[in-house]
Amino acid sequence: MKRGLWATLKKDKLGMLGLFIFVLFFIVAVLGLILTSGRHPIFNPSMIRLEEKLKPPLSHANTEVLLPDQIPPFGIYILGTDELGRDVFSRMLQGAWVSLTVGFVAVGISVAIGIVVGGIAGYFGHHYVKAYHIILSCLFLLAIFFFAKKEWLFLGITSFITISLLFFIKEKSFLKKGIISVDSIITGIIDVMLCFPSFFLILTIVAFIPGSLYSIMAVIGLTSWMGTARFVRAEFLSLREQDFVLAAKALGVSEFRIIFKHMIPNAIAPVLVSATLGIASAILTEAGLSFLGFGVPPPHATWGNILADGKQYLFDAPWLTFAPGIAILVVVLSFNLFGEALRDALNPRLRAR
Amino acid sequence: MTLLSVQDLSVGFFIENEFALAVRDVSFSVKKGEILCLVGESGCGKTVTSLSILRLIPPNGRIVEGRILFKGKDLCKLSEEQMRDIRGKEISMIFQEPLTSLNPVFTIKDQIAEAIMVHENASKQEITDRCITLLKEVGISEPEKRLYDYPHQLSGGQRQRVMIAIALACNPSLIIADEPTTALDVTVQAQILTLFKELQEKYNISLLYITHDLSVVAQIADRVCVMYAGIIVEEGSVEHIFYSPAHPYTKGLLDSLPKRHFKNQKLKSIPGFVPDLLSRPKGCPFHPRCPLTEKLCTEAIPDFKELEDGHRIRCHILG
Repeated sequence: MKRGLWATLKKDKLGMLGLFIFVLFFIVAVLGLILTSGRHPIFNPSMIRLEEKLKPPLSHANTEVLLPDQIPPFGIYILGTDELGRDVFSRMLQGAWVSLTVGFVAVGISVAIGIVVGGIAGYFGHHYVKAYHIILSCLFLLAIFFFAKKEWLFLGITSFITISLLFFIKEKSFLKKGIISVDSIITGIIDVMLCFPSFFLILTIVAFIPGSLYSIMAVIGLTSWMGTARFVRAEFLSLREQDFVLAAKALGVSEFRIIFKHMIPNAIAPVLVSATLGIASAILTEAGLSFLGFGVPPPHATWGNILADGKQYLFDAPWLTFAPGIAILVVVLSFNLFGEALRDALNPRLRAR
Repeated sequence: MTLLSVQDLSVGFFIENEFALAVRDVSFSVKKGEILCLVGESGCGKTVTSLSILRLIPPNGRIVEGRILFKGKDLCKLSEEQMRDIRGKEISMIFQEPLTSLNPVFTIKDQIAEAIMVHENASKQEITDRCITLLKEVGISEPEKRLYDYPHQLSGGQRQRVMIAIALACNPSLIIADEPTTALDVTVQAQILTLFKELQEKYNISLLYITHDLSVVAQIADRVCVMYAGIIVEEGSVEHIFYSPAHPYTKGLLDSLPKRHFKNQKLKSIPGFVPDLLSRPKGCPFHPRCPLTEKLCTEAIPDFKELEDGHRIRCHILG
C-alpha cells in the first residue's frame, strides 16, 4: 500500500517540492533546537551586541569591538542583526522549532478531538439522550460539588435521590423519553464554536491564561478542531450506510473494530489533508499571536515576534521583516502543496494500477 | 435435517411515526445441504427477511414476533455477542453489490483475513495460505498475485467471487445470498451460479438464495418460496413452482417472463403495481391485482393450504 502511495505522490511535482521543503524545514528546526539551546550555543539567539545593531545580511562582524563570546559563527551575520544586535539567523533557527512544534502539536490536538467528537456524532448520532441521563448527570455534578464543599448532609440527600431514581426509572417510562439526539448536541456545540471568529477567540483566551509555548499550542488546538469534527461526522454518516459496513457486521465484526478498522481508514484521507493544511494555519496563527505580542513570551524568538519587532525598522532594516515573512510564506505554501498532493494520492481510486 | 427454521416471523419499521409491517407471518425452513430460493419483486420483504435472520435490520426496524431457529437455538433470544459469533462463522451473507460490499481501502487479502481473524486464532502464514486456497476455490486465477489487489482493480465477477470467498472463510453451514448476481451480466451470472452449485455440493452448505429472477431460480433452487408484499404466497419444490404453479401471483410472474418473444407478440405483465409499505391493502395483499378476487379476499389474509406434499399456497379461492 505504501509503495502505491509513494508512486502516486512522486508523480506530483509540486507536491514533491512541498514535501522536500517540509523535510528541509523539519531538519532545520531540529538542528535549530540543537544549535541554539544549551549554555553556550553555537548560534546564540539572545546575545546582545549593542555596537552591532541593524547590520545588513552577510555583513562581517567587527571582531575588534566584540568579545570572543559575542562573535557569531564564521564571523558573519548571515541574515543581519536586529535593533539589539542579535543575530537574526540564530533567532530564525530558534523560531523554526517553535513553529514546527506549534504546528504539529496544535494540529495533533485538534485532529484527535475532531475525530473523536465527529466520530461520535456520525456513528452514534441517532441515539437519543434520555431525560434520566440529564437528570442523573446533573445529580452527579451536584454530588461532586457537595463533596468538594464537604456538605455531607446534602451529599447524602443527593446520593439518596440518585439511587432512588435508579429504581424509579424501570417503572416510569417518561424518564426514558428521548429529548435530544447526540448528533444535535454535538453539531450544536460545533456551530457555537465556529461562530466565534477563531483568531479573536484565541486572543481572548490567551489574555486570561499565562502565555507560554505549551499554552499557545493547547489553545490553538482546542479552538480549531471543529473543521475536522465536521469532516469526520459527514464521512461517518455516509460510511455508516455503506454496504461494506453491513457486510462487516454480517461477518460478525464488532462495532469497535468496524469503527476503527473499516470506517476511520475510509474517513482519514480528508482529515489528513485538512491536518496538513491545519499545520500551515497553526503556524500562521502562532506567528500572528506573537506578532500582536500575545504569543510565546520574549526573549524566546519566534517568527512572529521577529516580524513584530522588525516592523518598526521596515525601511531601515527590511531583512528583519523579510526573513521571517518569507520563511512563513515558504513553509505554509509547502504544507499546502503537500496537503493537496496527499489528498490526490490517498484516494485509492485515483491511484494508478 | 432442518438447519434453519423461520417461524411466523413479522418484522416492522417505524416510518414517519407510523409502524408498518414489512414482513408478515413468514415461515420457511432450510434443510442441510439444500438451496432455498426466496423470490419476489422489489420491496416485498426478501432482504428484510434475510437481514432479520442475522439480526441486522436497520435501527428503525423491529422483529415483532416469531422465532428464528438455527440449529435449535432461537436467534432472536441471543445476546449481541452470541449473535456476533454466529455471523460469519455459522451463517454468512453475500450482498448484491460486490463493489460497495468490499471496503475500498483494503486489499482483498486483508478482507478475507479479517473474516478468519474475527472468529479464529490463526497465525499469519496460516491465514495467507487459507486466503490463497479460498481464492482458488472460488475460481480466481493467479490467487497469489490477486491477493494484494484492491477491490477497484477487479472486475465485477471477480469481486463477487471474492465476496463468496469471504463468506466461505469460516466454513459456515448456511450462506444467505441476497441477489448476488443481479449486478452482473448474464454470462458472469451463469459462472457464479455454477460456482454456487459446486461449492454447495462440495461442502454440503445450505444456501438461502434471494432473487427476483425466475431464470436464476430455475437453475439453482431445490425449493422455492414466492413472496408478495411481505407474505409468502406459495412454497414448493422447484418443479411445483415451474410446472404446476398454483397461486395467481406465481402464475403471473411466470407468464411475464420474457420468452424470446417475436416483435409483435406482446410481453405479458401483471396489471397494477406492488403496494407501498405504508398503504398495503387489507386482506390478501394481492387481491387488487388478482383475477380471482372475491369478497373474502378483501377481508382476511388467507392461511396456508397444502396442495401436495411440500407444496403450499396462501389463497382463499384456490386449493
